Amino acid sequence: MNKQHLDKQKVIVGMSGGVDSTVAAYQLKKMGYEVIGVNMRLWQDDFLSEAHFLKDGGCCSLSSVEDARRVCAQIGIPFYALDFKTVFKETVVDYFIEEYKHGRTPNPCIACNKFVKFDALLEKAHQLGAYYVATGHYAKIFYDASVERYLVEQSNAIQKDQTYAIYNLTQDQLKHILMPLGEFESKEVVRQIASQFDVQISEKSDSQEICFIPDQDYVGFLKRNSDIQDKKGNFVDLKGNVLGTHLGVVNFTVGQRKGLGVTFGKPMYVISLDADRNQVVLGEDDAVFRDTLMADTVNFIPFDQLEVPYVCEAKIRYSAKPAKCTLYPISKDEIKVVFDTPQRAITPGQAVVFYEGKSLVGGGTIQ
Amino acid sequence: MKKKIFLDYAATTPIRDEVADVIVDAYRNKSPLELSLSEMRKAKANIATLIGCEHSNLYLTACGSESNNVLINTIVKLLPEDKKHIMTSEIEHPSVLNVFKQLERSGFEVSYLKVDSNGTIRLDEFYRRVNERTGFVSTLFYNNEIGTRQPIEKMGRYLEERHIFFHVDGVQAVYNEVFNVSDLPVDAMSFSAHKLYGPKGIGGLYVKSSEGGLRGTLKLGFPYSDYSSELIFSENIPYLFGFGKACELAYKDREAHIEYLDTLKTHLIRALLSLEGGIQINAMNPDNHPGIVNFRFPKMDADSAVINLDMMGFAVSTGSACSSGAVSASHVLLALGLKEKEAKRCIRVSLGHFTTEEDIDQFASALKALV
Repeated sequence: MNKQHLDKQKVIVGMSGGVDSTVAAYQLKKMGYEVIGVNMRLWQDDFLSEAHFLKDGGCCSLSSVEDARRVCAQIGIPFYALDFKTVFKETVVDYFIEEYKHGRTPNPCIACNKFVKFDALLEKAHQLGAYYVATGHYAKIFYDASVERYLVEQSNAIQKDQTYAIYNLTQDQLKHILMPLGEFESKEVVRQIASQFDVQISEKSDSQEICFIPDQDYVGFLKRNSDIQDKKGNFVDLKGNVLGTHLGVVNFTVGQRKGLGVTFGKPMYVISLDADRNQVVLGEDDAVFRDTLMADTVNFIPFDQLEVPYVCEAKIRYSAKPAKCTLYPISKDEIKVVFDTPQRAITPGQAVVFYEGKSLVGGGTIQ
Repeated sequence: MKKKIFLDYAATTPIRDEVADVIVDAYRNKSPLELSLSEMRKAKANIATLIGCEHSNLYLTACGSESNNVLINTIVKLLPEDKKHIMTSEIEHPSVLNVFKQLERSGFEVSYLKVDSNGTIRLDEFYRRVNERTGFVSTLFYNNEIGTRQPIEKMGRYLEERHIFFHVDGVQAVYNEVFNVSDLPVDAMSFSAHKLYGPKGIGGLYVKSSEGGLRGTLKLGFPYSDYSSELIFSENIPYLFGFGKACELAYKDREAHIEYLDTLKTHLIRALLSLEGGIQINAMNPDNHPGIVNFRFPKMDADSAVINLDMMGFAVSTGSACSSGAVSASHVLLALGLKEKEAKRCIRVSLGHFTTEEDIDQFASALKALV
């Protein structure tokens, strides 16, 4: 499809049937766009019955198709369901499984945004003649003529801000994305607008959870969908002394204290996971803190590449507070991040995301 | 809003006014006692006349898929121990294919016949794979996605000589080809009312009379078994009347109907081939279904094309079974030898009684934006 023929007034909105995407579609329609609602079919876990999906909602459930269809009818926009199961499996689920196999903690939402919502869906949008894809993410995207780039800022409703999950979008992607909820001051306002539509405001699961694991039992999910099985290994201390036995690296995350299955007379934390040796390294609280991390597959928003050390703030997980740090370039897509103060439970596989005030600078994957 | 142009007759056909009248009349104006046995017999006779059999060889079901399910599951249970090899093709409707897969899991020996690049069963392979253990064969008369007609006469005669039960799924065939099923070398045929401008929710099954108590066995499991013995008031008699009416009308004009579809299809194919950009038509055979054309876009995915066409006012389909909007590459198109990416760029256009040449011209001109 020739991109020059795309209609800048036409936008495809990913609709889950929930509050945020509903209001996003409604706002765009009010702004005069020709809006087309699309529900993305992403995943089907035969083990979890449809009843479970129905009860817990979440973005992948079949009920979400019907919710989205109904809401689109109320808004007065066309609705279609589209199948993205293959690309979702290949770029999100397989990645999710691989990361756990290597003792890392993946962030599937970031992968989904990068490869499914703002790549595969964007391609469909172009095939439908639409210039834009829009979602109900809380973030602000705008063009800054002075630097000739698309920039991203945290949403006005700061407690809902989702810029963490879109740090790795390219300029070419950002150019074609609209996120109208970024301007709203609070989720309450959004809920109020949504209340005129037939959306289940309170019953929908929060989208922070992993949508393809509605029961949140990711260990059960991994066992059903990969060759990962319980495999006994050792708890070791920082010097490598064996402290006890665990049931498999996959059951643990960095920083975890509860549920180790062994007691040590003092609080012990998971410091790191060694999948190759099937070891879980434990240590005391102070050992969970580090001030340096390496990040790869980095992406920057206001510039293409980091050339010189850069002082900014960074979040090492979605819910973390931004902390002061300096970024040092190592190679084309690798950097070193040094924090002013040590950070708790820096977790390989998670994203480290950089900010300057409200502006999104970029991010990378923690090694 | 502009009226939508419906080009998905192979999925379902709109009901004819006369048929709707008969159904509404039966619901509204008659007490159960007035729905007489003779009227029911007449309806059934109209169905029998259209497909060309005795009404006593007809069984009524809820739909074509139910006909397929019931027939296959009933017959395979009657097969003797040394005849548990059963056969079908790779390009069947899911209501046949899924039953075969299930039977395979439960211990039957199953062969799935391959097709050539036009969707026709390879007869040499078929002859080779029929053996002394073969007890049952089922295939489509006309394929629902690509319109290919299978060589059912040749297959049937070969099987007849060997006393092997032969079932055809004739859902797309009835009204779109003139034939008498009792003259064909087939033992059973499924068909459906809503593909011939009748109501949704009623289908038919023809089973040839034969010794061995086959009919008796079938009768046990059937809700609409046999009206000659007694009248059962709770049956869906209005739909039977509607089915009968649809068949009566179809019988009257079927030659003209087929000729009309042929003309439309030729018109459509010409229009498709004259489009710049390289549309490829799948399975072009002279004896194809008169109203089904399946073609491939050079670049656009089928789901995008269906949506684009929908927004431009045309109803077409990808031709593959969709559940909750999910579109995967069609097993039929993959069996023709198309790559998965190619198979995902194909749509089915199917023409019918209410289609006009002008509809096709408008459709072809809408396609220009998509190739």
